[in-house]
This record gives sequence, C-alpha cells and structure tokens, in this order.
Amino acid sequence: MPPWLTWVFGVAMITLESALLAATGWTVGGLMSGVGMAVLVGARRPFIVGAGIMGALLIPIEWISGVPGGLAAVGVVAVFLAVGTVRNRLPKRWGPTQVIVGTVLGSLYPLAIWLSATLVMPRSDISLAIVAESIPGLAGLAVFLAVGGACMGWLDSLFERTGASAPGAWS
Amino acid sequence: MLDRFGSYRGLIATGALVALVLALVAVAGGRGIGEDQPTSPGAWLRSGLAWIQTGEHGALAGIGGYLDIFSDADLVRENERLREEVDRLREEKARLIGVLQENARLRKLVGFKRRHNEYELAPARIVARDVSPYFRILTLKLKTDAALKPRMPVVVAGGVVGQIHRTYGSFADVVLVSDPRSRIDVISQRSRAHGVVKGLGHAEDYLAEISYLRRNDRVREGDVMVTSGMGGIFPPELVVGTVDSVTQRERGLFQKARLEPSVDYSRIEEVFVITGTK
Repeated sequence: MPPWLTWVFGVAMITLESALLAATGWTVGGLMSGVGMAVLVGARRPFIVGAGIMGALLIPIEWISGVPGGLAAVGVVAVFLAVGTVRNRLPKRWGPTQVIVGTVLGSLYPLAIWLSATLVMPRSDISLAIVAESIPGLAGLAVFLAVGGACMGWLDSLFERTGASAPGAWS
Repeated sequence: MLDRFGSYRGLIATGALVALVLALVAVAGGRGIGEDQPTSPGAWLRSGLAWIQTGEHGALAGIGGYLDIFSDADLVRENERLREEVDRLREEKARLIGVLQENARLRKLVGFKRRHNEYELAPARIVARDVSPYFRILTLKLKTDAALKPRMPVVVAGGVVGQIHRTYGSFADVVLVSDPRSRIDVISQRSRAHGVVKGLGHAEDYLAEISYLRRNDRVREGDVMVTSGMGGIFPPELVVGTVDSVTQRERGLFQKARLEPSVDYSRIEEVFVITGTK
C-alpha cells in the first residue's frame, strides 16, 4: 500500500473510532487507534517511510485524540520509535506476536503522556485517570492491533498482487 | 557525500519527527481551555475531519437503528423516555429549590438581578468523541448558525455538560466536567458550601472531585452541587452533580468530596450551548 493510502487508512481508522464511541456511548479505554497506527506504521513500513507517514498523521491524531498541547504527539512518536527498534526482529506475517509486542510497547504512550503532562501542564492532575484508564485502554489497543493489523495486511496484499507495492516501488 | 548522507537517513528522520513533536508542544503546550484556537487553514482542515466523523457517525447510527429492529427496540425507547423524564424532573426540582432560595435572598438584597430562564440556547448534536482514554472531549455540530466562542457553557436538561474548548466552522470541541483540565466553581444547594469541581478523567463513572471545601462546611452524601456563577463562565444554579462521598481530614483547612455528575455523558446526543442571556 503506498504511503499516502496508509495515511488515508490511518485517518479513516481514527475518525471511525471517534464516531463509533459517540454512536455507542462506549468510552472506557477506547481503542487507542492513534497509538495503534503508530504501532502498525512502525512495524509494517520501512523506518524512513514510516516516519514520513507518522509526521503526517500527528496533526489528525492531535486533533481527534482530545489530548492537549502536543502531548498525544509525544506519546505516539515514543511508541513509533520503540516499535522501530524491534521491527526487524518481528515475524513478517501479522499475528499474535506483533499484537502482544505492540500492546506492550503501547504502554509507553500513557507513560509519555504522564511525563510530558507533568512538565508542560503541572496543574492538570491526570495521574488518577492514567492509573484508572490505562489497562482498559491497552486492552482496546490489542483489539485494534488485531483487527487493524489484519485489515492493513489484507490491503497490503491486494497492492502486492497488483504490483503497486513491488520492492522499490514506494520505499 | 550523498552516500554519507544516506547512511544518516534514519537519524535525520528521527530528528525531524522529534523536532515536529517539540514544535507542536512549543506551539500548543501549556494552553488552557479555550486558548488553543486553530488558525484559518487549521480550522478548515479540522472541519473536513469533523465532516468525515459526522458521516461515519450517521452511518453507524443507521446500522445501530437497523439492528434495533431485531433487538429490544421498544424497551430501549421506553428506557430512553423514562430517562428523559427523570432528567426533566430533576432539573425542575433543582430549579424550584434555586428559585425559592433566590426569592429568600432577594428579600434581603434589593436590586438583585434575576438570571434564571433567560438564556439564549443554541442546539447542537454530538458527532464524535476523543480517542484518548485520559481526557474527556466531545465534538458537537451546531444546528443553527449561532456564533460560538471558547468557554461558552454547554448544558442539557439534566445539568452541566462542560465548556467549549475549540471552535471550527459549525463544529466545536467541548471539555467535559470530568476532564482533568476542567474546573468549575460550585456551591451546595442545601448548605451553600463553596468548592471547586475538578475532573478526574474517569470514563466509566465520570466521577469528579470537589476541592477547597472548608473543613467546617457541612457537606454530606446526596447534596446537590450547582454552579456558583463565579468566574463568569457558567451562570448560577445549573446542576453539576451530587456528592457521592466526603473525606474528612484531621488536619488542614479543607475537606474533599467525590461528585457524581448529574449528566450521563455516555448517553447524551443533543446538547444546548448557552450563547448569552436575553
């Protein structure tokens, strides 16, 4: 799948989650789709291409996540860079290993949010929210990675069959 | 030279990404509610995303409505009707108590201006929510062409929902009472004890905390807390919630209490923005 389509896929996933949460009234944890996209792009795209896609996804993630003052960007970039360090050791085929590794590395997101919120907005006490919501949030992330990873794998295979993502075509 | 540049491509990409993040933090970091307004191109792009969210929300609601045909749709509708009735009665009761107390105070304070039932209300529909587990934001779409401004109060029949954070086109982001950034000045309807409601970011129960309650103030479980009107954002006597528990401290000037918001934020679909007074 070309980088621009990966970006469209990411924006569609994030807006779909926010619309789904509004339509169902389900708020506990959510799916953390912004973090999920950082894991998917970090694990399934070459580092340079992935960095470009992440850079373009930062603003939509920042707007739709509702997290103030660039903190969501700090969190998702921390997760993306962490996934980049283990990318070459992961099996190529998307499966439970990637979901587990992605979920564990996704726990850097609340940590990064907590650290940066403490520095940037010390009066906003989010420690309790992070303690209460991180575990359901990471469970939601695992669900997103399983479903979103499978969707992205299917789209990638579609493009590979048509030759659009042949080696060297996009990266 | 190009080869040498190529070997550093990973580092350069990482540096660019980190620089972008630092720029975002530098531009928007530390800004409070209502202080983070998008620029014109930003508002245009954000409106585009909000239209996508509105379309997806409409499609999902349509699918949900279709599935209701095969489920307990009558029960859901009946439940919804009863919930609305409870909200209406609760609001009516709170308003009545507020009016009675106001009348009592009016006898003492000549020239006290009546402020109830005089709000200009702009209806809006909830189209999306934040995708972060720690902050509580709703995206609403206005049904009229009223001009929205940051920090305008957002309410429903049951009480206070929150305040407007960002506006873009006919959309706005609303910071809920239970968001960790939210601070609302409140008083107890029974004892007139004064405090500040601070969100805790809880998703399931949306609990909030009441700080700065004086130790000597008699606050107890079940007390209805209403906006005090101080601060100039929320008009007085709007219901915020009821006291869930009180923590008495042996030392210090203040006691703390947990507040259960009067509004179930997971179920609201339509809200009103108070755009002014008549």
